Amino acid sequence: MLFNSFTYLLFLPIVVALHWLLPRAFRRGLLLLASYFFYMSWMPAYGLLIFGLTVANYFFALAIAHFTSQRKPILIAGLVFNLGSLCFFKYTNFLLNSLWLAAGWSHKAIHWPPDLVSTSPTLNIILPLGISFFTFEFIHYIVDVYRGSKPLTNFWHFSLFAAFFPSQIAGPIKRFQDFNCQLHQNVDFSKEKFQQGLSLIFLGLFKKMVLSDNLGRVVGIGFAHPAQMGAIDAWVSAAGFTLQIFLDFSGYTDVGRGSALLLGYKLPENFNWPFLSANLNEFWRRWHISLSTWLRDYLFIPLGGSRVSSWKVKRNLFITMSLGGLWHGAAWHYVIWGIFHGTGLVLTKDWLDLVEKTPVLKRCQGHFLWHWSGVALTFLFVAYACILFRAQDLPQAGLIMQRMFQPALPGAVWQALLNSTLPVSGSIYAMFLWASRRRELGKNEPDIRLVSWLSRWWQTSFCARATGYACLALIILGFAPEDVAPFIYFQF
Amino acid sequence: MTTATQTAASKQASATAPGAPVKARWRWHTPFEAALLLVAAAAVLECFFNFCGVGMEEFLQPDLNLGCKHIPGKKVVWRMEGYSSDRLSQAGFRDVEHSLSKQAGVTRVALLGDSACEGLQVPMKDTYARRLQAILDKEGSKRYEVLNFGCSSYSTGQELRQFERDVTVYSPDITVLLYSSGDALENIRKPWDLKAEPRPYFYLNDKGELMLDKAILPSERLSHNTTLDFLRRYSRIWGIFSHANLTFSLNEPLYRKLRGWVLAPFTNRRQSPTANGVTLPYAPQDGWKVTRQIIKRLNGDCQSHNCRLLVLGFPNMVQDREFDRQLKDLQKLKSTWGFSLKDLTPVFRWHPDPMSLFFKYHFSSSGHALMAREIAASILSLEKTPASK
Repeated sequence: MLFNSFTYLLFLPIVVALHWLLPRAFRRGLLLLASYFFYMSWMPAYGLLIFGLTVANYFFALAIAHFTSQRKPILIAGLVFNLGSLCFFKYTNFLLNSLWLAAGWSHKAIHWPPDLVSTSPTLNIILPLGISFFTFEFIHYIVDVYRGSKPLTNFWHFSLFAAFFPSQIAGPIKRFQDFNCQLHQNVDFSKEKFQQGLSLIFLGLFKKMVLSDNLGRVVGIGFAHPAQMGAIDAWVSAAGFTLQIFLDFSGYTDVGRGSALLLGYKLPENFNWPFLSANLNEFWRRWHISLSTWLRDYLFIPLGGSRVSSWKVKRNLFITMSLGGLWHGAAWHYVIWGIFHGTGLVLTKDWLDLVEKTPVLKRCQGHFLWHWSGVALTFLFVAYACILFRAQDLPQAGLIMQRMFQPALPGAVWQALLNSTLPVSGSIYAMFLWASRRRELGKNEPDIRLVSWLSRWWQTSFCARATGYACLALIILGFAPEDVAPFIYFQF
Repeated sequence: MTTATQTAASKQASATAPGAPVKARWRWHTPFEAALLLVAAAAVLECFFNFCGVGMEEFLQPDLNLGCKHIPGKKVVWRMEGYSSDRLSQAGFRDVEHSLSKQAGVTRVALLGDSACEGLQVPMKDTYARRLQAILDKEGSKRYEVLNFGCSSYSTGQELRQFERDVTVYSPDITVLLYSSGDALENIRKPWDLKAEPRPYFYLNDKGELMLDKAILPSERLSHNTTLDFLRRYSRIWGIFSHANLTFSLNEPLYRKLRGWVLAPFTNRRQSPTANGVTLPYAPQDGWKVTRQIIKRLNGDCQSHNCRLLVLGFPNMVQDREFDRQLKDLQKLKSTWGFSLKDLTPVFRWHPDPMSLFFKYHFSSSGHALMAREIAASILSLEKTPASK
């Protein structure tokens, strides 16, 4: 069930209405049922998988807490179990293909028949939706219990933590301590939370259906015919895909967070203006925050973190990002994307050290030109790396990267961008961002009587709000392309 | 009493304090406010959508004889697969304006077909109709006028009825029919299926004669509804709803089901004839046999109007065997019936970059260009051969 589907449009109001109508004692049970229904509507058999993983991790955590002398082997067994299931579903075919490819390179030496080499063996494994996300949540749970957190004794609470539908498929990766706290709070219906949730859902749908899906069409033209692109088209495609993936993923997160708010739960934020980052380090603190913090807490710090020698810090950064790349997808271009970012982070660290040591550079740091050139360079780096993310394979990525430096007049991609609704919808979104940023920075709104009257009207009038949401829904419907595209991060 | 007044006053003061949450209340003027807001919002949105070119995909209206037809003079902005923003002609075709009367010395070429011929995915100047006009102007020894009658979703049967009603009045000299792989199935319906697409269907009676099945055509009431006509023609919001309805119907099975249930009480074709013990109007039909008769009739109509028929076989890129068989059958029949046939498959399949000729299902600009070249070559060679009777 996609967040941007008609089915979800029916599913969510029913669940929300039942949730608030039922007595408190039944609400969690309803959410658990709804979450399993949500997951199994895609492939019923995989409901058993998530249930099996939940049962296993529940007992792993209890065992770690109970058998204190044996907790390390139990933790290792838990990690092997979780990572093993992730590897089986996600990486088996990748490993087989890579081994086969390696064998193909040497087939001349061992004289294999060519037709045997050309058909690589693959297992018929369907990747369960969201497995990368809930596996990471399970790992976080058992590691935190190992580190001293109290395990959840109520199995149904733990099941709901694992299966909670607003964050089930593509995060944000939750922390069980926060979620458990909310489960025990027995929150009452809050009008403010409800309105906030509705606004987030509309914002998320706007990002996904109006901006990301239309960008996807434009970008798709470029990536479908890379050989025909000139520099402008190639850069538009790369930048377009960077924005598309942000809008798609943050749109998904917004709908998820909004849905959770309608039910009275708060999910962590995943994005904090990532494209305003002045360097790559900052970018990764603002982009996919729940994954970045997970990688920091359960990979980077166990490797030694930043309290070791400089080269070891760089090594840790490199390993963390490479594995982060592999987590995104079972293909070499994802691994290279991770390596690319890892290298970028290492270079950024060197650069920041140099700036810190050089007084002239340090003085320049405060200048707005310094800041904004950093923002532009970071975006260009991320966009360039995104080609590896979007390309079908490495040769295609290489071709597009090559095309980015071949001067040519704007072509089909640029034309498609102009013909789309993106110039208008993008402007609307840019104005919204500008206003949000001003409010976030605490800048006072201009004292215009009409604006304050409208703002007050919006707050007091139910009709105004209902009409506003209806108009927004109509705008989303009108600007959305006809085919419902799944969220990009669903494949991970 | 004093305490109560003080409490009320303090509540009021705290409610009006800056930054305090303001509660929404139900007031006597709420219904008026709602009505006013609705009207204002609709007007603003109509202007906004018009400015953005959104909600302008609606281009068909119900037709008593053809099932549907283009809305004359409607501006259509199309963003599925490709992009185009053009106005339909005043006569209701995706073409430039043409006069009914034919100028002396001009050979008129009428193009019949479905969405591939209509070519909404490319600007009108890039459709094969307009490109064909340009090629014939350049290479033809006489003057030609190309008329595009292509319309989305049309079956061969609809094209036959369109020819008889709308095309003959333009006195075409050559009619080019684009025949696609799904057309044979679109010409027939299962006799008990009353939920089929509203269009004229055909069947063969016991004597093998081609008969018209009008059971599913739009009703008089639906075809001549002034309000709906107005909304279809001018309202962008209507356009958005209609487009969303189409999109959801295509992509969401649950929506299709719910829509069926909701609309069931308002439609008079809920029960199949068999459910009531009513005998079926005719036996289940073979799509190709019926289609062959439709083409035969179209060819006969063309001959009686001193017009020559050229049938184009849509490029069979997916190697549909049934379609191949149909084209081979037509190949055998062409000399007997006296029409021309051109199978476009080889030209498209052996093109250096066949993928560039299509968007997803429809021709890209390059595909239209190739179509135009092929049709022009066929027409020019057709002109050299005498018409067979």
